[in-house]
Amino acid sequence: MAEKLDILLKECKRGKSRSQEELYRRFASAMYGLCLQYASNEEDAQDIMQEGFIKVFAKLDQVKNPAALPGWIRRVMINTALEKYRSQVILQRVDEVREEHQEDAGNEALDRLSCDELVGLIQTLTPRYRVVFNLYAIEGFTHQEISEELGISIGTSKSNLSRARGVLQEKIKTMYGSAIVR
Amino acid sequence: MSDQTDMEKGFLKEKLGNYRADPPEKVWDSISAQIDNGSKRRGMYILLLATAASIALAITLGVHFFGPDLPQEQSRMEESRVEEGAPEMAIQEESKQLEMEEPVEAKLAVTIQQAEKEEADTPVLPEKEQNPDPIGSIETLIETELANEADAVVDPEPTSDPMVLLLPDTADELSTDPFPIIEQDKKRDPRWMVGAAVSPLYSYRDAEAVDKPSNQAESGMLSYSTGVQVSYRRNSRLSFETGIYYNKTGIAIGAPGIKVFSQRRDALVFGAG
Repeated sequence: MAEKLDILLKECKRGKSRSQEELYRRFASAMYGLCLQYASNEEDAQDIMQEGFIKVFAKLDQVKNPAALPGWIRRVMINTALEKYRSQVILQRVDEVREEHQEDAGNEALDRLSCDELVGLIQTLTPRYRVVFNLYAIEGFTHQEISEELGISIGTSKSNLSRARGVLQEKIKTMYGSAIVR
Repeated sequence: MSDQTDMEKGFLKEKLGNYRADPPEKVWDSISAQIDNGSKRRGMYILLLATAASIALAITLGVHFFGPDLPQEQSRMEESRVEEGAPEMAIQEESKQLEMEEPVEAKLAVTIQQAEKEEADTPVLPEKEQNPDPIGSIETLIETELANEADAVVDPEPTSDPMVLLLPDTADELSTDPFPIIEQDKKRDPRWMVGAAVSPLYSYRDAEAVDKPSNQAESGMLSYSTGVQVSYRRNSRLSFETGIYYNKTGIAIGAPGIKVFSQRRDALVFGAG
């Protein structure tokens, strides 16, 4: 597998179109899933996917270790999504929020949601909330890292995450009623 | 709250970290098209670089191998011109010029007569003021005239006639004196030529298999060929030519009268002959 990826990487670096397509097919579904989480709709996700893979093929020479390729491609996609977010975002005044005590939908509610439904809910968030939520909850960034990545303060990152969670919980409650809320 | 967040974080990461969705096919089509465009642009850039490099190489090699021969060639041409009658003409011209001039002896006689006349016209001065040796004076005058005459021969008066400048002064100088007219010939000398060529190109293929009819759906395609070339003419019978050419060839495939699509191939050809 690793050896095959090594060969594929070398051939892609040489510009072989068939290998490039094979590389795309290998990572397409995982990366499109990632793009959907960062986009507000499928069209935006496709744009991120397209721009991301063009960067991948343009900068493939940077990858020396084939084992690092999947993580590198994922990182390129996230960076592309962040660039798109930066270009699209309309600066919204987000107050340094007080921690809101909202009813917690809990993992049980999240567990009931399918991945598609969950991604659909994430897409309804505002761009800022969505990006902060994805970077923190899914990619495992710290608030320090998020603040550096987005050029915001750590407090803003925390408040954005809190707001995002609140919005998601509200939506889950609306979808499933109070039955799942403890 | 923090524990809750961490738990939620791990749960979401597990749930969505491996989330997959199949993108529509048009995404790859767009990516592929853009990659191809980038490759073509890179290809054109490489083509331009290769063209410039080959021209520079051809010129460098030409100058290196054939450059030093150029002056020798010119000398040979000059010599051949000289051999063909230039010296006779030059000598004749010089003789005519000398004949036209007054002989030195005649000039000297006139000068002596003038001196004697001036001496006769000069009032007699007291003895101490007179030249004690009138003969010596005449001799000095003759020497001065001769010296002036020699100067006149060595350093001829500058003339505006360019033909006079082109003529060698002596027979010894005939083989070494450069003819300025050669400089004009050098500019006109068509040994080195750089050119460009564009021509229509019709390409087709004859695809016939044994016991099978040929592919009637294929037809030839009109295209073009273009390139730049450098040539060097060694002599009237031998010349070298090199260049870089771009050919666009292919075939048209489809029903008669209806071209479905064209299969094109780009080719870069390096030619030398």
